[in-house]
Amino acid sequence: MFALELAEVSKYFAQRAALSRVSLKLEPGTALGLLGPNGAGKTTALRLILGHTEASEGTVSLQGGDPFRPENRRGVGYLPERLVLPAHRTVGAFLRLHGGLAGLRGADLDRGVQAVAEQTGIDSRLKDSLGTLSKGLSQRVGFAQAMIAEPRLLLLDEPSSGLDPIGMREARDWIAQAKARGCSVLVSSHLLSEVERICDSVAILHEGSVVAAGAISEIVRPGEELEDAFIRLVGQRSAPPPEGGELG
Amino acid sequence: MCLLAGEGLRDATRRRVAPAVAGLCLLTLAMVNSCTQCTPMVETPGGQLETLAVFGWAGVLTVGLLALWCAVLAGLVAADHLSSTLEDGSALLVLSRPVSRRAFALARLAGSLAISLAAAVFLLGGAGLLLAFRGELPLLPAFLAIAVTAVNCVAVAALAMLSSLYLPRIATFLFVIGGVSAVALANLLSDSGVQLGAIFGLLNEAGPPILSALVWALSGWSGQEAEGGAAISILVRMAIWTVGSVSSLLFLFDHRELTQYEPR
Repeated sequence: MFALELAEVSKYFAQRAALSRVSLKLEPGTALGLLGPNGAGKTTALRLILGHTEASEGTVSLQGGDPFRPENRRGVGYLPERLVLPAHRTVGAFLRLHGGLAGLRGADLDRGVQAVAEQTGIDSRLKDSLGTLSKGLSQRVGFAQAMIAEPRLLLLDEPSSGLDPIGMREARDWIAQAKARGCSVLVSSHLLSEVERICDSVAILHEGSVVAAGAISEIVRPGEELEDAFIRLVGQRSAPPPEGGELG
Repeated sequence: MCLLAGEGLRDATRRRVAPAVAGLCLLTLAMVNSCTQCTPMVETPGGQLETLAVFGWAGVLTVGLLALWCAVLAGLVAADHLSSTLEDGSALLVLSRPVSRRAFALARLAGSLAISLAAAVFLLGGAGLLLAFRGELPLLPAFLAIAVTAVNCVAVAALAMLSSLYLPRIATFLFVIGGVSAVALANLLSDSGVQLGAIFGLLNEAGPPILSALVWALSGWSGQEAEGGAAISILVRMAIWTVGSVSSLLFLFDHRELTQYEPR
């Protein structure tokens, strides 16, 4: 069973195709990078995976089942691209809420909150109000809520957003630790170097379609880095046609 | 569900409207207290009206107005209690957990209702007790009015929450105020024996019996007993509107695309 699977999925908003016949698979315990320029359909794909919206065509499977069914979202941790935290709540109360929703109770909840807070370096800020945190600290809180209760599947939308270089390195470590205990990870990001370091395979989306998918070594040609391969696959397609329609 | 309901309640009590409602409730009850301290006498061509009759009608008018205010309040508080969580993105984060959309919507509804129901119990209970003890009125109509108002609040809040999924906030507010006013006016005109036009007739016959139910509940004070058939019709319509509005909210939220809500 795949941690998640999209089979020939299309999603239309009015007449516009946000995704067109996209197929993706995430093997358990591996990390997949979802790459693409702005508007490529990465966030739409994540929303389909979480059951926030329904595919117009094709099927989406989350942990072997329909993502609309709450039980199939058990063990899933999600970090959205634009994380809006309730300013009036404390870090501890926010983590307790998400720990509770993830199924932790009583002493397990206390331990779970303490564990992720220590892991993400916010254990000294548990009593602070979320509204007082910097962007970097807010992102750490976002990571902590996603990783609470040791999820089996992590969905991370632009996880490096707001993190400084030290934070980015730590975030890589948290993801590596999660992978090491068997967690599957889907990372949607613009930072190709980050994806290259974290992920086993990548899928490159462009204008709603997958233009390349597979292990990084299969996509990247000799002498290329992932960035070069990305620009080769996406940049050329995005380039405007030459005036007059003919090359000289 | 308990976690979500607690969260919904916490969010509701944190809103700026909560202390304003509490203040208004205290002020209103102080006014009712002041007005019920007098001993009213009304002279008519036929002689002097009994104190009991004066207090009875004053009670119907006071409790009726307060109950309508509570129904509007329930709608206004509910109008953005769900939609605001969709707009700020917090709902999407919660709904990425093993939480059903129905449980989430129900918890938000319960949270918003906690404020309006507390206001209803405080206002109607307080006014009812003052009127009953000072005007020697029976207590049962006051309890019935509280129960009817609570049911009305549930229906209005669920409809307001439902329309907030499709309408802008200001349009939902206007829908609540206009809807409750129109239905109450249709009920009032009908109960006064006025011949209603098509729209008001439809609102009175098929709409939620917001004011008719209150008039029935307070008939022990007004002395105008409703016919058995009419009372049953009112109660059945109340039940249909309440169950229907909550079920519609849950069903439509369950099938709502959440992609159009971008975090602010």
